[in-house]
Amino acid sequence: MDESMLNILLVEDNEDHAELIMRSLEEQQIKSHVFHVTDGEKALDYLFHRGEYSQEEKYPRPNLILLDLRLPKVDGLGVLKEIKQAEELRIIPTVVLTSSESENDIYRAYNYYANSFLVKPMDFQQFNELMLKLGRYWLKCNANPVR
Amino acid sequence: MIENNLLPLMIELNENTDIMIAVIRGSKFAYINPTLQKNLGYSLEELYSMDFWDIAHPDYSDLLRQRGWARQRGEEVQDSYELRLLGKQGNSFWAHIKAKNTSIEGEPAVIVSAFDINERKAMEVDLLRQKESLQFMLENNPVATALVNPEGKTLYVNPRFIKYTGYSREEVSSSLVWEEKVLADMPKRREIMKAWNRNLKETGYSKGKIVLRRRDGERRFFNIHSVALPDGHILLAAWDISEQVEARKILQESEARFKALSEASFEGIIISENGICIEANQAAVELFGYSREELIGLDVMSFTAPEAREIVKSQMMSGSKDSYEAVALRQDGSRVPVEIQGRSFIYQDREVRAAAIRDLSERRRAEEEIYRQSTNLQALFYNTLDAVVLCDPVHRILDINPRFFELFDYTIEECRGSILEEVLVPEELKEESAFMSSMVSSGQANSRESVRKKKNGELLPVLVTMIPIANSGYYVLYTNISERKEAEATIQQQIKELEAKNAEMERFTYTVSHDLRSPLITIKGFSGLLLQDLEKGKTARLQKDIQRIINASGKMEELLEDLLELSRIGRILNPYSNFPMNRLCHEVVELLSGPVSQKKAEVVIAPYMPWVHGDRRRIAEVVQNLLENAIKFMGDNERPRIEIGYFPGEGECVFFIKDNGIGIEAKYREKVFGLFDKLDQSTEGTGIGLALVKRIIELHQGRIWVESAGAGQGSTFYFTLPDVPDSKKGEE
Repeated sequence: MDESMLNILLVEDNEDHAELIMRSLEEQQIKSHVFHVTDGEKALDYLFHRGEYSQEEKYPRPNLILLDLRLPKVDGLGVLKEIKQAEELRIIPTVVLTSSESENDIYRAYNYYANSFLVKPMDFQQFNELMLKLGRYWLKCNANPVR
Repeated sequence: MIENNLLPLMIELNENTDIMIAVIRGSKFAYINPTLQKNLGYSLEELYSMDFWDIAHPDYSDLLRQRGWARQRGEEVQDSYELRLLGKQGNSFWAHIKAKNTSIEGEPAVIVSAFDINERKAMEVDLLRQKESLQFMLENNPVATALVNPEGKTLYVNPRFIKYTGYSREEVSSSLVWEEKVLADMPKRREIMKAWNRNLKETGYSKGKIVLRRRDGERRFFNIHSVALPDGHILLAAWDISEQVEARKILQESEARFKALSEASFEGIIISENGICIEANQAAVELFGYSREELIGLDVMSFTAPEAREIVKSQMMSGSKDSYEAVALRQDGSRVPVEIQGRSFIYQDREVRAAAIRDLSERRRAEEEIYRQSTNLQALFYNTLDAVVLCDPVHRILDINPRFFELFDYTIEECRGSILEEVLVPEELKEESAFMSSMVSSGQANSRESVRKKKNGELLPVLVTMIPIANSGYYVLYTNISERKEAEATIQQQIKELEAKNAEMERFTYTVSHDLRSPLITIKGFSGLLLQDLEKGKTARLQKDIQRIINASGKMEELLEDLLELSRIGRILNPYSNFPMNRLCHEVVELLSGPVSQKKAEVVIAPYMPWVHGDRRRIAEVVQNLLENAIKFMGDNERPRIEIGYFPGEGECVFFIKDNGIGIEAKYREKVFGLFDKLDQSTEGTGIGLALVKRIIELHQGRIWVESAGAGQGSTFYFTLPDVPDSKKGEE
């Protein structure tokens, strides 16, 4: 795995938002590879190498998880809880990226050991900036435990 | 010799003087003057015939005869002497005689003059007699007496003095002896003696009390008086008052004791004499509201209430010792019920009556309070809304109140004497009941919500309260709490519903904010990207991005419409009516005949379905939604089949729509009813459908849930509506 690159698991049910995030990262020239799943169940399958994602080689562990909260089947908090309870997964930085500004959600996310909580900005420019900062921070600033 | 011319004058004098004069010659009188003749009472003839010694008292006639003859014989004889004369009438009197020799015609004669000293003599005798009786008096005086001369020397003490003091006159001769011995026990005796003497000198009189030490050493108390006599002598009189002093001391002590005792008494004590208060203690002062000074001298009747005067009077008159009740009249006019116990006795030599008076107002109040409480208790017992049973210490029923009968159906005749537990307590609660009974038996009141059995075996939720009665059993109160229990259950239900509503509201606002933001982010995001691409002249993605924007706008419109619809359900209600479900289902299936036939689905409607009561349009929406869902999630089943059915529930009608489509995993069975929740993002619609259905059913007091054996196993959606009473049916 290329360590100078962000391997992102993007858990986002909204195709449009996923497209926005990926284009933004691309635009800001963040060296990243994004794997996109559309619901919580798939995310967990991916991370635990289950079902269609059982081939570890093909679906490697990410070094950053971008997690929406409002997801079909298993919602974001459910996913987060599972990740942070699993010994092999809990070290992966998991950033909640959602359109919710609910204090309740923020509290609960941190209560399940989220590493960061980001609200999707409505403004396009701010959205881009956030993605740039996010990419730089996790790629450049942050010392990554996942080797 | 006397001049001859003076002779008649001399004779005149002899004849008229008070002095008795006689001249004796031989044995006869030669001359007797009138004074002598008058004093003797003899005639002159008688006198001249008598011998001169015949006029003397027989005691003295010899003396007179001898001296008369001797003088005439010329012998030396006493000239002057006293003797007693005796008159004719037997009267004798003293006379002082002076005799002188003379001669008549040459013959010796005696001239005698005499004067009457009878009065003087009588005085002398008197004086002697007085002196003797004074002596007698002193000797026999019960008062110790002493005579002291001006120099302080004791001249005389009487026998009583010696008896009292033990000292003889010689032993108390000087004032020094007095000071050293007799008054040795007197404190400050020197000063007192000085003052004594000074007072004596100034006023001639002194008196006081002294402590005297007897010769044998015993101390005695004396009252002593002294008088200065005209010649400077001092007469002391003293009498022993030791016994009086002792008696007074004892009396004072006993008085003090009585006083202390009576002051210490909580009872008022009044001592009266002839109906007048002569002594009162502090308690009496407080009881009657008079000061002690006011009480003393007051008629007992003036602090006795008029209505009690008769009994008080008769008790005092009879000297009764029995206690009786009366009413005291206080100074302020208020009345105090009292108990009096009197006793007549002799106090300081007076016949008096002592009465102990006890304030009964406290006791009366207590009695009244007890009566009032017992009356209140009775009232409470018979009128309380609680069933009350009175038990003895061994749990036997003694009494029940009317409410007990109403609540448990037992009459007092049926349960008196029975063991309470056996009558009321259900088998499974015996242990709890025994515990409560043991607590009340140990004097602890206790209370607990429990269940008790009526006579017909029906169970009744009650609050059981056990109240011990000191050492004599206990009360048990049963409060019927069945209504409260129901109310509590209702409240609990309402709380649950409210909490659910609240949670739903929270979810709703969350959902709205989240779900409405989502398309906005898309719109703004892709608009931005569009601009960028346009600036750079990139056109490859333009059409696709614009389509995204259009889709997001459409989605938003949909969301808004759904939200409006949802809020309308809560707010706008069509009037409820009774209608048969069967017909409604047929109408809905007819409405969806297009999609049904498109999927080649078979729809079966149960032949019998009951009438229901509700908003017909909304219920139709529910059926339509569920049917649409069934069609939508039919999956790849080659023989889609949808069954609309019914079965009766408990007080409700249960309807179901069963399909053989894709099914729902157990963990998603709640989530499907969430607002804008979709299990599959690829499906059409906002995800509001089931949320809407749920809301409608809840508004009709029904429930909705889904059952499914799992993915691919088909699903059955159930909803309930309340039963409609038969009478309401057919009123569509």
